[in-house]
Amino acid sequence: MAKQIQFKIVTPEKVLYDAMVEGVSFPTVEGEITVLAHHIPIISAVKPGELKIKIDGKEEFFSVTSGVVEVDGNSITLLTDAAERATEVDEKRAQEAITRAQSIMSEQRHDDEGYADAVAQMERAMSRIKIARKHRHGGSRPSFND
Amino acid sequence: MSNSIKDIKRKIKSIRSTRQITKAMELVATSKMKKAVESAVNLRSYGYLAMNILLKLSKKYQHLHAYFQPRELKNVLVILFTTDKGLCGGLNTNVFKKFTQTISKIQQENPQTKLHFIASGKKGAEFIHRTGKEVKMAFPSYSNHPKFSDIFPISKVAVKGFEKGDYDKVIVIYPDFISTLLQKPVTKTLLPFSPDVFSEMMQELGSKFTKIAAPSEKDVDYKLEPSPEYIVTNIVPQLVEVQLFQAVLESAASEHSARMMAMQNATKAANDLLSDLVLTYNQARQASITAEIAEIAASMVVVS
Repeated sequence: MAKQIQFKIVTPEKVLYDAMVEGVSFPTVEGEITVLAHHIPIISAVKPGELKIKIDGKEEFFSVTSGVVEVDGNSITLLTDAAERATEVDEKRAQEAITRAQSIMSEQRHDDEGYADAVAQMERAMSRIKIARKHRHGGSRPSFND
Repeated sequence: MSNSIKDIKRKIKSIRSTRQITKAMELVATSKMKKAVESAVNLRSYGYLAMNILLKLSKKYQHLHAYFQPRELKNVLVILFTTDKGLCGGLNTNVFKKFTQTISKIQQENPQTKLHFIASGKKGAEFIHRTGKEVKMAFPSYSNHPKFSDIFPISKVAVKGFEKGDYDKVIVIYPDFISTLLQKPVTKTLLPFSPDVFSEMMQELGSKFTKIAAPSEKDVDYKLEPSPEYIVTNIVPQLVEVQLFQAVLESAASEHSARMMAMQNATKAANDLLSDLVLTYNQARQASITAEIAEIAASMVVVS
């Protein structure tokens, strides 16, 4: 049995996930990192993308948006704006979000902040769609350490 | 006699309709309260864990960001959270008390300090006006389905103002939701953030904070990725916004539970009053009937 580490996903709405896991991989601004038990303490910025949890030899997938992760040796805490299980991602809604973001982008070309918001929204929605498609039919799952 | 019976009847009618209103308001507040409390409690884990990260960053990287550096207090921004509507018991009054205490404390410690005020909630804006101070900006209270984007106007003023040096300290005053029966007004320093602020806040919030995010005893040496500068400039403003949003949600939860309790009491008082009045009314009615019968009987005697 591999060593385990406490892992929590916390969003403003709720504590989405709280369990002992073997390892977690998530995208950060500097590329994906994998945290196993006894990882050195680290605080890092998380980017929208796919989060992978290894638990009891199985893998679970989540879609996360930007946030911050704190690893303190005994536990991993991920604070993110929004997260959902890959199998629960609503592709249609994500598609709608992209269309919405596109129209905002064309309307608010001159509003830097509005434009940046729309771009961020689009990035989030696209990453959600990608994750949803990948896991829709329980399709091929990449191995944990690829 | 018949006059007073009419009076009582009118009173009963008016109290009945008042009771109907308070009962309805109670039900509305109850359903709103459930939602508001749920979201406030749910955000707590996020908010408190965010505080914890802020604390760790502030201990080690104080030099990196203005958010962590206490300055000389020349200008202080006070953000006051109250309700838009009344009929919520002593909620606003208690917040005002805290407000007065807080600002007199600041003025005692730093007589030179200039205070600026932002009010979220009509009652707060009115109160600040009444005390002869100027409200810089007044926002509505976001008590019905608060959204994270609702606080952006406030946070923009507060955070940008702090960055530019318009304000040297930003504090928020809001009613913290403890239970449906108890709401405690608290003062929280939003910026700058320092370990002192953290311990001050721990005292205010007490055990409900330590339950979720107990500060670790030992100092862990964190590695920051990609760089401490990146984390501090990109993450910290967001964590500060969450603190502000927490204040909004706590005030919303407090408002609805305070209103629910106030309306429950009002309904109960109306019920008590009604049963008293109905008793008096029945007594008066009976007395008048007895008097009438006595009159008829007397006139019968006279006629026969």
